[in-house]
Amino acid sequence: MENEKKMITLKSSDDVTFEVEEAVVLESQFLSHLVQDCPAPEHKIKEVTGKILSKVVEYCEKHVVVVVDGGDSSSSSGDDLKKWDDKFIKEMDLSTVYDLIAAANYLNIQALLDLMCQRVADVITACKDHKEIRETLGIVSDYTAEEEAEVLKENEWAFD
Amino acid sequence: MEEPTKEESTAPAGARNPSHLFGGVDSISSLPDEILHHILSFVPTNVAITTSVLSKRWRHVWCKTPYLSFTNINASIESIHETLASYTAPKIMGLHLYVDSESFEEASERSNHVDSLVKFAISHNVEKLSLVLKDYYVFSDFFFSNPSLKQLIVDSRNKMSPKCTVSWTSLQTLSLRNCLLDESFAKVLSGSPVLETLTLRSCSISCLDLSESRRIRRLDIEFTNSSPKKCHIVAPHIHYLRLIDFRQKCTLGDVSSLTEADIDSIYFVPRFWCIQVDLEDPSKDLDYQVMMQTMLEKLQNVENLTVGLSFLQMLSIAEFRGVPFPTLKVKTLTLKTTIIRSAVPGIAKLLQHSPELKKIFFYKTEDWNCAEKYVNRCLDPQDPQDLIFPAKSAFKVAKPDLVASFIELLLLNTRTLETLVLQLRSCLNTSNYDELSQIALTLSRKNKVSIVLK
Repeated sequence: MENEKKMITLKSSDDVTFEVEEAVVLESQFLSHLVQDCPAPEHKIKEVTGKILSKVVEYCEKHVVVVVDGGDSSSSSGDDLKKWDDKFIKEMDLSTVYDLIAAANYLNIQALLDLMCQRVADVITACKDHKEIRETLGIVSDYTAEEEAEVLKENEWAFD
Repeated sequence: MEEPTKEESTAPAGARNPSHLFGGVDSISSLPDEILHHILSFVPTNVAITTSVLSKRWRHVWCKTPYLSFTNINASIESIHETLASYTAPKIMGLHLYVDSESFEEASERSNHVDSLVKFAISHNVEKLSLVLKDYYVFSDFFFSNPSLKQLIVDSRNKMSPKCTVSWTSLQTLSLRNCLLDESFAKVLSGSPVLETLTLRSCSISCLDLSESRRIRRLDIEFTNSSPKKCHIVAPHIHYLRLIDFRQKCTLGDVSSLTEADIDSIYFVPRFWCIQVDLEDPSKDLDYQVMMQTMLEKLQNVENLTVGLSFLQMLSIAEFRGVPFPTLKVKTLTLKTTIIRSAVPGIAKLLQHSPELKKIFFYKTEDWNCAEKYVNRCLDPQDPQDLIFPAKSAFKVAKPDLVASFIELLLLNTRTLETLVLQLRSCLNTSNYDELSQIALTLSRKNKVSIVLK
């Protein structure tokens, strides 16, 4: 079985290379088209850095193994995968999350995009008010005091 | 609002200014709008609305969030609609509402809120509606006419009985929990011509006739202890059936297209049957026998079968009571059970009557099942072979000799098997893994069956 697996090399913007099985690449809609249209052994992805690409590869490898291996809809393997996902995002700072969102969006990996957006959403939801959201996400307000008061007033009920 | 560009959003992290916080000055604001909409789809909508005050960049971002969700809102309808007036997405992909008695004191006020938000969603061609209504609510006529709706989930202890014609012409997935359904449910079915998947959990329903629902392929139905009525199911077009607890609550009519089934009951069903056998009540015992025989006949064409521990125990008793077993066409069998004596005769019988079996998936469950001692007592005197299996509840760590005996039991009763996957999960650890792998390898070679341990 081992030698039947086709290997593909991905190269990041900063020339870090990753050798992965073809099945792993197929998790990305963008890459699966790229691989089909242009059957080169190596593909440069100049929009994604090595640091981020390593995370993308790690995620896709984990998710592809379960599908091939399980081959069925077992809830237990689904649970295990969810645990893995939780751990995967827990160790990540927000700037990495944003870069992964951009990468998942570019490479068209819907499940990874959802997971990362969910993580940011959880951070926003956990904040007690908009001031805490600003602080946590590092957003600087460019409203004048009057403008801010107006926006607050318009949607007053939502701030309760 | 259009300030972020694709280039900015996909620029490498290093290109952004460092920040004392998370490595980028407000890098979230430079993500494209569509991504921010996606993020806000996972946030309760009242929180999403508050992001409008973060900065000018965020002023109108929430207004195009495709998924909205509201939980126990206590604001007036007027103020909510004032805010929703700035909602600009042409289409709502999904609306989720959770309303219980905590929001508002008056039931009528709660109903008005639900109605106004559902109307808002319908006017925006909503595709997915999910309503959890813990308190009194009456489904109005407008609710039953919605051509864009593709998926509907309702969890409500209220009656869902349309008095008007139902028109859910795009509805593919319908999932109801705790709902009180009556004969008017036929209107829902006839008004949903493209329905593919129907899920009913703890619903009260006395007859489910899906013979006119020609597109329906999947039925997932669960009767809990509290489901009050008996239910007769006719579903000639379904390919997949998941059915939990059929004890005198559910009888199956025509399910002749069935190829995949997931069947289990709950622990007290085998226990009650054993008690009837003990009491020597021949009529009740016969009821169970007929029920099992009918069930097995309905499963005759199923190629992909999943069964749980309680159903296996029922099969063990059926075998002991002499219920005739038909020949099954099962090719893939999934056993969700623990290794326990009361399930052994049932498993053996199932395998013996599945001459086309190719694959077995065994998922070790954490099942604690109080029917064990009743079933074991009922089956007594047993096949001495079975006595090697434990008659008490679940084990924490898989003992290699027990797993070996279990694999041998499976292999002994089938000749056509090609693959056996044993998912022992936490019962498999570093101390027993090597020994179990060795056993699996030996048995695998000896029987020419591929055995996978997980």
